[in-house]
Amino acid sequence: MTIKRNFSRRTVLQASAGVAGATLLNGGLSSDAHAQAADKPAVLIINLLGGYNALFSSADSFLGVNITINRVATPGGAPAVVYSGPAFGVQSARVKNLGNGLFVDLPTYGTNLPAVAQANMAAIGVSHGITAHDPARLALMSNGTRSYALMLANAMGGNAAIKCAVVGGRLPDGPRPAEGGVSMQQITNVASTIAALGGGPTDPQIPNRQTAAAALIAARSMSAPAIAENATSLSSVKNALDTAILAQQSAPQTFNAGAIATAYGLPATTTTVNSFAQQLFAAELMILSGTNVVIANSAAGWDTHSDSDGARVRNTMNQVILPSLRVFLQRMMTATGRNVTTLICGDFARSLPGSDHARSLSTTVIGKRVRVGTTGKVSASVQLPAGSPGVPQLWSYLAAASRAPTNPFGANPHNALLLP
Amino acid sequence: MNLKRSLLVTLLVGCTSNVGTPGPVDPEVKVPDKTPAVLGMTASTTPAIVSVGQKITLTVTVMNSGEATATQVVPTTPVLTGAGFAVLEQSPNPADIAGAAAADFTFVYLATDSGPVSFEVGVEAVDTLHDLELKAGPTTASVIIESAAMLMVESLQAPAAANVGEELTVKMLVTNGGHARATTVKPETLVLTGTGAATLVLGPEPVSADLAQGETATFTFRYRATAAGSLVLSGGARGTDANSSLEVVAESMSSATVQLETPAKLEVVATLPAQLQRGMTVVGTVRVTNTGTSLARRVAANPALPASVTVSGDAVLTFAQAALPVDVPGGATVAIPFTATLAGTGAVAMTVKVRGTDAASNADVESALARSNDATVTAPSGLAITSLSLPTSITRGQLFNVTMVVRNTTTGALTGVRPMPAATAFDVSGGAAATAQGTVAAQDVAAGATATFTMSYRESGTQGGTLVFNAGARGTAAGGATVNAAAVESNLGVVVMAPALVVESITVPARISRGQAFTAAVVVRNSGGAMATQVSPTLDVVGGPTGATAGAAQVPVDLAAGARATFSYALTENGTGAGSMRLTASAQAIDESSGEVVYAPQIASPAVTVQEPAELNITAFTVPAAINRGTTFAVSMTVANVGQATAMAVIANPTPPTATLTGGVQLTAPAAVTPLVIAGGANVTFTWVYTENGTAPGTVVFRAGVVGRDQNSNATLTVAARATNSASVSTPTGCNGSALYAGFGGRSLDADRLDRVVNTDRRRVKPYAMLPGEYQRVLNMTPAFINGQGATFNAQPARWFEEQQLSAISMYQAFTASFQGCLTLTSTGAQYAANPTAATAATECTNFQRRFWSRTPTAAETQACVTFATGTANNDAAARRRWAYACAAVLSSAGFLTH
Repeated sequence: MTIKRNFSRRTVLQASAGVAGATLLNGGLSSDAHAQAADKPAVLIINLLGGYNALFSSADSFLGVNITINRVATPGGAPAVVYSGPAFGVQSARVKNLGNGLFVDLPTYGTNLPAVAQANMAAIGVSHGITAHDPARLALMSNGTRSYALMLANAMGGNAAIKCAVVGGRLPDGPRPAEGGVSMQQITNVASTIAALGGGPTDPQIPNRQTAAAALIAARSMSAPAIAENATSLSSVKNALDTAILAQQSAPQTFNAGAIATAYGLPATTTTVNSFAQQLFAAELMILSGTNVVIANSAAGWDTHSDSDGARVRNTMNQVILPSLRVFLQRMMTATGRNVTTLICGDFARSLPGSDHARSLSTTVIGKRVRVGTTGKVSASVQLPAGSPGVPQLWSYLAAASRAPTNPFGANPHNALLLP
Repeated sequence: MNLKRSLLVTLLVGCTSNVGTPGPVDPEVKVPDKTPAVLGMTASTTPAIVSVGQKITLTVTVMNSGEATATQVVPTTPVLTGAGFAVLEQSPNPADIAGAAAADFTFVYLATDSGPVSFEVGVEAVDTLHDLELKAGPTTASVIIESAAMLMVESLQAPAAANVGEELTVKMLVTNGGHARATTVKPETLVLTGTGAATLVLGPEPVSADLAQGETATFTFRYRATAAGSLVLSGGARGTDANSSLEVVAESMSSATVQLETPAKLEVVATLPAQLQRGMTVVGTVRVTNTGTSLARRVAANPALPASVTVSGDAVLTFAQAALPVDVPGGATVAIPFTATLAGTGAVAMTVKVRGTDAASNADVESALARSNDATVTAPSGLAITSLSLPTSITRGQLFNVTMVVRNTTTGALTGVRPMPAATAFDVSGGAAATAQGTVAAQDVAAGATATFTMSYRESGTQGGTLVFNAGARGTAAGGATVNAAAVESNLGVVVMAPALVVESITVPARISRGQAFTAAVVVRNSGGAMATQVSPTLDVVGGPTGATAGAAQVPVDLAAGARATFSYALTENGTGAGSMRLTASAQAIDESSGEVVYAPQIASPAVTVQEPAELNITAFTVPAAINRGTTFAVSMTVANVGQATAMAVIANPTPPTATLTGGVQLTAPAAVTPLVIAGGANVTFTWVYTENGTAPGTVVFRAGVVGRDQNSNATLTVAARATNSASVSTPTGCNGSALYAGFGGRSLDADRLDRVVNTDRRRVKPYAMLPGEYQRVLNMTPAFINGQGATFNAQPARWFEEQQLSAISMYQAFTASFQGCLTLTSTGAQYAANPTAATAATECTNFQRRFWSRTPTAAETQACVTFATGTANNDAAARRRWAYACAAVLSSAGFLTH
């Protein structure tokens, strides 16, 4: 295949799409962050598309492991050393012991995550045996026919209109059929979201919420034949109508969005959800609105091949993720009456020596009910012990950490890493 | 090259790997004088089958069929799929490839996990002359990674006992529990330990063997026993992994203890008292010594009675009672008494030989004929000693009696009759001695009567030996004359040492699994010279987290001097964790002679390693999700042993797995898969290769469990059956039978194709880009609330293959925009001046629907609008706003938002 260099699909496809304009938020929105029920649970899933290096969650695995990368300079020539040094750049001075067997990377997690997070962090191992991106993402987020995130959101219960949200433009891989009426709703504009939840400005051109709910019910009735005939291709229409009706039937919610945005270093007028900081800003809003599960996909270059010294992935973590994650964790984990659990995962860990694709994953979970420790300690060859739990058991752990009334994922083998 | 044209070409030709056609030539651009570089590629792996631990070379050959040079040609990092896995160790650097040239790029991997592995690799480069980015592939190369050959000595078999001089046959069974073939498998030289000795006569036979997966070879050794004692043989085996040529080693294993014996050999010494008197009852002592080490069973005189030999005069012995057979342990001496009556005078002797059975060989053993010393027999005077005897066997330190019987052969009574021991009462040998315990009272003996005198002695020597008592007797006749009985000798008393118990060995398995029942054998020997009765060992467990329950109590046995007994204990491990333990054993018995309790010192067994039992899990069981009809594919099952003990004979159950087929799918039978050995903590992957040979598309699902056995306990291991994912078997063509094309990222263009009945799933959500124009079309205005909402509607979706969808937020935004537009629409017009009624709503709802949906609504659809328009929820104070809500409801339905 031959294509033009520097070709950008987006520049072509966006030619007629226009650029999203920002709707200014009313700076006078009031916060109602603590109006939720006591210990309202929520789960934030930060999915690093491309991979999640185990140096963050199992740093001690690479202590004393030295690697050498050879490359052949010319076809048929002798190999030459291009990197020789500690695996992923892990050295004893760059590892932080959080206790109970959990060692994290000092320059990133050990330095740039708040103390409350470091005191409630665990590494959860996932042995999925997959080394290709798409199958790994599919396996991480679904069982092939059902979405784990929706299963969890449904199991957690509650009365929020939007129980499962995706913040940002990238939806998770895999099927997403509604679970018990809970569908996955995409949050790509904060202002519209606040308006839909009743927090928008007073305007005679904005419909009355009760009447809007009834009108949308009528729209659903009018759409029923089309939805029935197009059950797959219009499934998002059905889910959107169902959830929008619920949102309009619910009591209006107000947020001090400007203050929240400012906390994340964003302008108070932020509306779009593109950057990771904007994703976590939106995530906090959704959690405050009662959402059970929020998914933030990051495609900031996590497929870090050849990153044998870990410099690139550390840099991305410190620059893209941690500044806003630090804010999110500090705010959410100290919020009264909330039990927010954050999962950091990716397609798979990175293998050695070339930072390629490992066949398992060592995730990081941070939350109020998380006991410091690890079931995700990998070997020096970035492998979990034989028989390590798989993906459903990770979700089972999240359900248990959230104290979901039911756990649709079966037994939780990571139970020792939960606080009572 | 025009960008849009480039995209169009890409989509139409479906991204074949070596299409290099440039776009139309811009007349204002100088055309290069060479055609663009065009890349093609192939990939291959060597070797095709490797073992874990072996290097894999992936060679990517890139051909430039164009004229311009392709610069910075570099393969993409291969993506590995399949049950196996390999770690990348070496990758190539970019290189330039001139036109019409080719170059090889080499990746080197280290195989780490067994199973099939496919490497999907593409290639990227730049044609700087034409400012083109070049790509080719991806293409795939595959390799089968086998678990390395895994040798194991399953057993080292040797006989429990053998005699010195005999040959003993030892067999070593070696199994290959790995995938790869093991070649030139040879046993190591066996190491012999213990007090015994043997020399190799022949072996091993065969000298070496090649073992395929699951095969076992038996190597035979012949040894000749050269010295008695215990003997343990140990050894491992070595071979070569046929794939990697690396040496594979089987852990050493030890045989059970072989007891080497010298054959039982019986030597006899017959002894008669040297001085006798006619008419005496005489005890002749036959001392039988077994100079071999093997037990001589049921030793008895043969013939049953000794023979009398008259040396002079007419002296003759008459034996009347045969002795009971006795067992004579190796190295032991047993004294057998024979009682005879003595007639005549002169000199007499006896001859005897004994016969028994060698316990090791069951062969008869017989002593030489033994002749006793000559005994002088004299005629008694007036006082005759008719019997002088002491115990044939005396334990050292034991109290014993010497009994003398005298007869008064005179015609008158004798008074003051008493024994008259010689000045040296005892003839001794060895370390034996005796000391008198008190005196004997004199008796009066009437004419013709007899009197019995019992003299008490204690054995007072230091070692074993013999004692013979010498004594005459004396009395006084009525006239005061002294009447003497001539001195005679007693029978021979053999002084033996007291019983002494020794726990010779505790035999235990080297390894057991937790909870396992196992056997411990305790061998106790009586190393003393006297009988030990009620011999009973005591067994205890020592060790950290381990423990064991003892089985039933042992039945006590009696052990003759030199004899041994084996006590077998049935135990069950019942500790709290893995580790190691030892057993200790002691023993106690009763000295038959003294009645005192004797003890054996405690000894400890070799350490027993206690492991968590082997536990098998199926960690992966997969088949490719999509299979093209007529192709070959692999089904892989990865089985992990999460226990510590080795799992033997692990195999899928059933094997091959049960296949559930639908449609016209048929499969060839796969090659047989043989059982494997999985060490603790390790895993292996079983692979079955099928070829689809059916008649139509369909699906296939495989189902199987796993069986095996714990090496330590031999317990059966089972894993419940589970199913693979469902594989779709299809013909690799598009909807119209044309070839399938791949889009960006290799994603098939029909990956999301819905196979539905006609007229279903044809509608799609309108892209956001359409909506402002659509509102303008139906409302004659574009609501402000729809402008600039691309982000709200997620326009465009993040990935090229994703379709536009609606969320609750974008739906609400659409409704708000619709309401805003409808407020304008209903702000004028008499029909909207009054609140909706059933009649006016039916009319206007139909109008809205026709106008917004571009079709005639059904009655039900209109009624849904009417119901809302006239319902209590539509209660705005302004009539025109009520109509605006109804209008917005129609605009927010699928009839407008989808197409």
